[in-house]
Amino acid sequence: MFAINKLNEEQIKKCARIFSREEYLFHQGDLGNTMFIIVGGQVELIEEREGKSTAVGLFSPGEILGEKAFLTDTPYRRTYSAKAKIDTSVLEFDRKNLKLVESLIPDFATRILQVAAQRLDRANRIISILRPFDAAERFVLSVLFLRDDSGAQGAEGVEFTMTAEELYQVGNLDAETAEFCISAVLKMNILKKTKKGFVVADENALRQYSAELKDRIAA
Amino acid sequence: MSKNTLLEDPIVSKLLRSYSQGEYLFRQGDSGDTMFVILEGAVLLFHTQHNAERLVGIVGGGEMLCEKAILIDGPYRRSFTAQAKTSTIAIEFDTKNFKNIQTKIPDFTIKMVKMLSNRLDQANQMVFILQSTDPVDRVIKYLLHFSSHHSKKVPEGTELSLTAVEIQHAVNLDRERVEIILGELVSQKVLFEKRGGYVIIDENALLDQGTNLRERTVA
Repeated sequence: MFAINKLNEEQIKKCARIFSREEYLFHQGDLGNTMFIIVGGQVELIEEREGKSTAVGLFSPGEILGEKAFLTDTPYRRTYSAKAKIDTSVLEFDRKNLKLVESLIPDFATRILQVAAQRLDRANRIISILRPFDAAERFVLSVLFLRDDSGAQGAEGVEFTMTAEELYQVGNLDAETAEFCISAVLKMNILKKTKKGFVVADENALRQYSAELKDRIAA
Repeated sequence: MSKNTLLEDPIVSKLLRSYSQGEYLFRQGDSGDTMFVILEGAVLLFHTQHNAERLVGIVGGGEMLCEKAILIDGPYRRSFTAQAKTSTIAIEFDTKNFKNIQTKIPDFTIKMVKMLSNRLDQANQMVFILQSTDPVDRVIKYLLHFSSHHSKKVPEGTELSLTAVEIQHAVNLDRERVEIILGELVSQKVLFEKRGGYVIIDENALLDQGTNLRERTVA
């Protein structure tokens, strides 16, 4: 995706950073105008709100982080914290290095626009999941979102993982409701457990089931 | 981006579109693989669901539409209808043309990414608002969110050009609920109606009233 071997030694010295596991790249609220390209390892994006830290994203080698700070001309406050999940190496750039970044990443402009469009698209999809006040409806929409967002074709259909944590992040469901809904749809054979996670066995039934689930949660 | 320099450019001029008032750029469900940047005029966005059409946004000069096209290889279905509010000029382009425009207009990508980033910020705030499943909380958070983006300072406080119907759609509540909540806030003198919109007298008092109202609704 990007050609690190195009960097000469001096450039590497200038841009390369190593973070050990649990070390922060930056904290929410810090000032910074740099962008990171993950070379090795994994970086977790963390939102700190009302004294609580929630993981809101995971970045792997080849991915870009902090493109907004990079494109902003004025001092920028980081909207999230970023922490190395394992030992991680990154390249850190500011706007002065734009030419260098463009030479490292073919189609940088298109890529960065795609990253922005993707994040907006995701946020808009989450908005439509969160609109219903009814937890069962949010559960159904969250399941379909997780399947479409991160599912992979398996032998039994599109396989996807779904944890209580993910259902909280996507559909704002508390752990108890999440567990209840999962076991209910498994029992009704609407969802099926597979080796790697779940598949939706009956999408129509799932879409129609929020009404019935709602009654059950109320009961 | 100055319109005149664009009009003269042979590549860009091929992508220019002009619409008279009321003309449709596209309709929900249409197949398309292009995005639009509005150069002049304004475009109304409508979304139809369960046979009811509602206005979901207005896009003005310098803003972009259908950035999703850059994420998808080939045509996809438009998820809303776009209609010219006044006579409007736009550039319409697909991913292939995007690269051409980029070379013609300096900073084109940076401008577009910034625009998307701003919309992402707003979308993230909407996510935060909708994470609340308390109707009073949603209405108050939405009023404060709107106030920080599209308000006007007046001697009495902060004027929002926002109707009860718009609030109702944004936070997904029925008409009656929104009117009861707004009515309570007006009777508590933290808010009053003006010219079809609302004026927030004191933002801190609005937050406090939220707590009061919630406790009373529960009691």
